[in-house]
This record gives sequence, structure tokens and C-alpha cells, in this order.
Amino acid sequence: MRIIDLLTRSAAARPKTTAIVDRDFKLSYGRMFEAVETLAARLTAAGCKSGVRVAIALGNSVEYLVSFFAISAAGGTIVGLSARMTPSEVARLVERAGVSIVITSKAYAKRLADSLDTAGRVTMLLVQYESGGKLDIEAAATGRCNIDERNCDVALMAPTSGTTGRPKIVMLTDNQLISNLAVYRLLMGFGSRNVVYCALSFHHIYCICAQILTHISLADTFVVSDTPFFIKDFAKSVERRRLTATAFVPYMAILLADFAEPQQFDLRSLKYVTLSGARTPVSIYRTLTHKYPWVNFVNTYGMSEAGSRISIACPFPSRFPPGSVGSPMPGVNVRIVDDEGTDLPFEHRGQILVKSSGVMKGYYQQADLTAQTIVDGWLRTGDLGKLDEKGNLYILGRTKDVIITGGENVCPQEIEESLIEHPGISEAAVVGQKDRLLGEVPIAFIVANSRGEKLSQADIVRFCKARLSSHKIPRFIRFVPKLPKLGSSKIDRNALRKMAGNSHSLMS
Amino acid sequence: MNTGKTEPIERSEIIERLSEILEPWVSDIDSIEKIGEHTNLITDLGLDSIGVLQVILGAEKEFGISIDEQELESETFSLMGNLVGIIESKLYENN
Repeated sequence: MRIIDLLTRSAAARPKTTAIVDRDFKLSYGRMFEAVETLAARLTAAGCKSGVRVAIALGNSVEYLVSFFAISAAGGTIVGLSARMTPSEVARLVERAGVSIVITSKAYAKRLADSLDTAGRVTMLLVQYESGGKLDIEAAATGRCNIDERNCDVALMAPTSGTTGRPKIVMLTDNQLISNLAVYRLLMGFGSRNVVYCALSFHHIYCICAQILTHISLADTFVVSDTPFFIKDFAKSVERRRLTATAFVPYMAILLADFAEPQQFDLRSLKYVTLSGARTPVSIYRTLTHKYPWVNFVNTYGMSEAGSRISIACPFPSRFPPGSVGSPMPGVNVRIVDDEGTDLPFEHRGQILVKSSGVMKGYYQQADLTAQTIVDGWLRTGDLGKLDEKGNLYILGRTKDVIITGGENVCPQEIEESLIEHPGISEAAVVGQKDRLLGEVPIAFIVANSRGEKLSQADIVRFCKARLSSHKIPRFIRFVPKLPKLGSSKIDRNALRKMAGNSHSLMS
Repeated sequence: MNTGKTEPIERSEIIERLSEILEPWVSDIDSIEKIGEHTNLITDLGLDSIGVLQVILGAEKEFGISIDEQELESETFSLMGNLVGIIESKLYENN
């Protein structure tokens, strides 16, 4: 079974059901399937087939979902990117993933032109629904398609945190994705005819698995939004569209918990809110369940490398201890081990290892890293956690330096590499600083050289913004004479985290 | 800079100071030169969720006011003129 089959079945069973609502535009499953076939035919004509990688660089939109399934229908590999990324990030990932075709919008293609040299190498398709409801497809550039014979079985390539030079790209097959979603869907017990609000970016693996694949397979209705998340917009949308389900990262959950006047809106239709991306604070979870007792707030834990859900606090989320991310899903085996790889007893903190049919095929063109990450079939998650004697899993930290800000994983080295490209910076180190709403925010320590004596924080932000998405731009910057080191070269990140408490805001 | 609540500030000055706050969070760098009352922060400047949070934080510090995120929605927040209006109402609400 392939990803496209999920849509094919829903379109056959419920052709008249609304698949997507994007502002005032509605698309039924029947019409969506027709559009997918049309775009798939254009992709095929452009050379797309098994082993060809096709990137989507669009915002959350009808066009994104149509493109996602069209790539699968044409036999290609989906490279899930987003117009929320900077053009240089998209260009880097297009190069890195060996993408042959980019599906984007006219507006984004214009911005991408300076960063991506398509000449003869990349086909660019511009897609947009016209006001009459027809999908307009325009070829802006043409190139030859490369076929990756070794990875013809890969359905999705999902970029995850990594350095600028070697961004990590997770490869997942149809079987890995579908076996994982089948169990997730069963456990969640979604009824029929859900109306699903998508607040997360479509390229986020949590959104792809917990929302796109799951709810397309249920022939549910998506309410798509490409605007920033405002809690009042969400409440209005619940009332107007009779929303039943959504997926949040913690800062959205905090805004919902803080929402002062929910009684102004009729939120009674809402049944399922899944919480993932990072750990939702226990106090916030308690407030949510108290304030909105008719909603199932379901903590889940997952990662791209696991394809993607690992554990889930469902059914009966209220029976799971606060702070737990539920129990491992059936078919997902979890171990907690110490630094030597020895299994630890219940309630002991160690690294979480996962084995399941959803675990990735590997990182694209990073065989060594893949071999270090999947050992004897067990995925080393890099997360620290514990199991209680009832089998509930708790996430307690990370062994890696990854910063999780607003549900997005950020590799500090990627920000550091961008910073030291500045001629006035000789050294840079980035750590996470706690933030009530976003969980963590990146903060940079910078050693300026003689050419950077007059550098200001604004200069550095200006430099970063051309290279990095907004969530990767350091919130605070501190100039220091030298960086604390462990031994001769390794940065002492713990010392920096302690220093981070005294930083001055960029905005002050 | 923290400005006293009673000191009148021209709308054009608010826009200028907001533009500086917005700069790091705007995805289309060239667009920052053209900011005015009718600029749409979301569709014209590509402000995302993280950007909105940072702009609110920045405006609070710059103007010495408190903006409740719960009062905001995309319809009212998105136009620069509306954001200036929100800031003016906070600046002078105790007058």
C-alpha cells in the first residue's frame, strides 16, 4: 500500500465529502482526487517516477495537500519543505536531497530564484487554484530528473535538525508511514466525519502523520490556515466550522490554557487535541483538562526517525499519569538504557531506544550516522526518559544539544555555522534558554574579532535573517571575550546555559 | 527604549519603530523598505507564528505597554495600521 492509496480509497468512498476548506474555497474528495491525477500526470511528463525526489515549497494550502498526494501518485519521493523556510534553506535542502522537481508558488519562486540555480537541473512547477476552482500548473523551469536507484522505496524525505553543511534528512517508506499511522489511528479512536484544524506547518512530521495521513485516510475535512497562530482565530474557527480535532505543540496549548474568555465561543464540538513536539508542562495539561472537560487532550511522543509516533496517552487520556506521554503503541518496543547500553529498571532515567516497523530506513547519504543511530535494529532517540512499572513513558531531557523552540527542533551547530560566516565573528556558540511560551529560545554567545569590534546585535540579526528561519534567529545575543571550553576545543554548553540567565533581550 | 505612556507619538514614528522590531522576523527582506499603514504583516511581510510572538514582545518593550495575545486575531493584527492602533490604545488608555 502507498500513501496515494489512502486518498484513493477515501475519494472512492466519499467523493462528495469536503476534503479541504481554505478560507472560502472548498474542495471535495472527488475533486481533490481529480486535481491530484492532473498534477501527477504533469509530474510524470516532467520525468517523475520511482526514485525521483520532488520538493514542495508552499505554505499551508489546498495546493500543498494536492501536491503531496500527486507526488506519491506519480511514484516519486515527497521532500516535505515549506514556504515558511527561507529561500536559502530551501535551496540547501533541494541540493542536499538531490531534488529534481520543485513544486512552489509564483511568489515563492521569485524569492527562490536568487538562491537556487535551476538551469537544466531542476524542473519548477508553479501551482495555484484559480478563482474558478481549476488547478493552474505552470512550468517555470525544466531540467532532467535524477533517479536514486537505491532509494526507490522511499515515500517521504523529512529534513530534521542538523548542521548547515550536513542537514539530516530522514527517509521513510510507505510501509513505515502507513504501519505507524494505522496503529495511531486505531488507538485514537477518532469517530467519523471529523473536521480537523491544521495549525502546524504541513512539512512538520507530526502534522504529516497525526493529521494529513491519518485524517485523509478517514475521509475527514481539513480546515487549512496559513496565518500565524492566534488563539482567538482558533476559537472562532472551532465555532464557525464545528471543528472536532486538532494537533498542537506546547505553546499553542499554553495559549489555549491561558485563554481568558472561552465562554464567548461555542467550543463544544472540539473532541481531540493532541499535544506533541515537546513536553507540555503538567500545570498546563491540568488547566486544559479542567477548563475544557469535554475535550480529550492526548499527550503523544514521536520523532521523524521513528516514522513517527512512539507513544500515546489514549484511550482515556485522563487515566494516564500527568507528565507521562502515555504508553508505547502496540508494535513499538521501548527500552531505557544507560551510557553502556545496559537496560535500566523502572523509574530510572536513561536514553530511550525504540524498535518498530515505523523506524526509518536511514538518513539520506549518511550511512555512518545511520549506523550510529540505529544499532541492532534499535533507534537511539537521543531523548532521556523513564518507564514506570505500568509501562508509561516519561520524557525527561535530551542527550543531544538540540533546542526545541515552539515545537521545532533546532540544531545549535546550524546557527553557529551561519554566525561564523560573518567576517567579524571568530567564534560562536548557541544554547537554549527556557521560555514560558516557546519552551526554549536560542541564545548566542559571540566572540568578535578586530573586524567585528563595532558589531551590534541588530547587525547580527540582519545577517542571520537572510540565512535562517525566524525560529532559528537567536532571541538574545551576548558578546564575550572567549567561550568556555572543555579541554582544548569542545564548547562547555552547560556553562553557557548557566550564563544564559543574565542575557539582555534583543528587543530592549 | 521605554516611552512614557502620556507622551504623544506620531503614527509614522510608531511605524518606523515597529519596522525596526519587525526586521529580523520578516521573510522577504526587500519588503521592509516599503512598510506603511496598509502593509499586511502576514501576506506582504510573511510574518509567521514565532515572528508574531517576537513582535508583540518587542513592541511591549519598545513602547512600555502590555499587549494581551488573546485580544489579537489575524483579521485585526495583520494590517500595520491596526497594530499601530492597538499600540496607541495601550499608550493612551490611562489618559
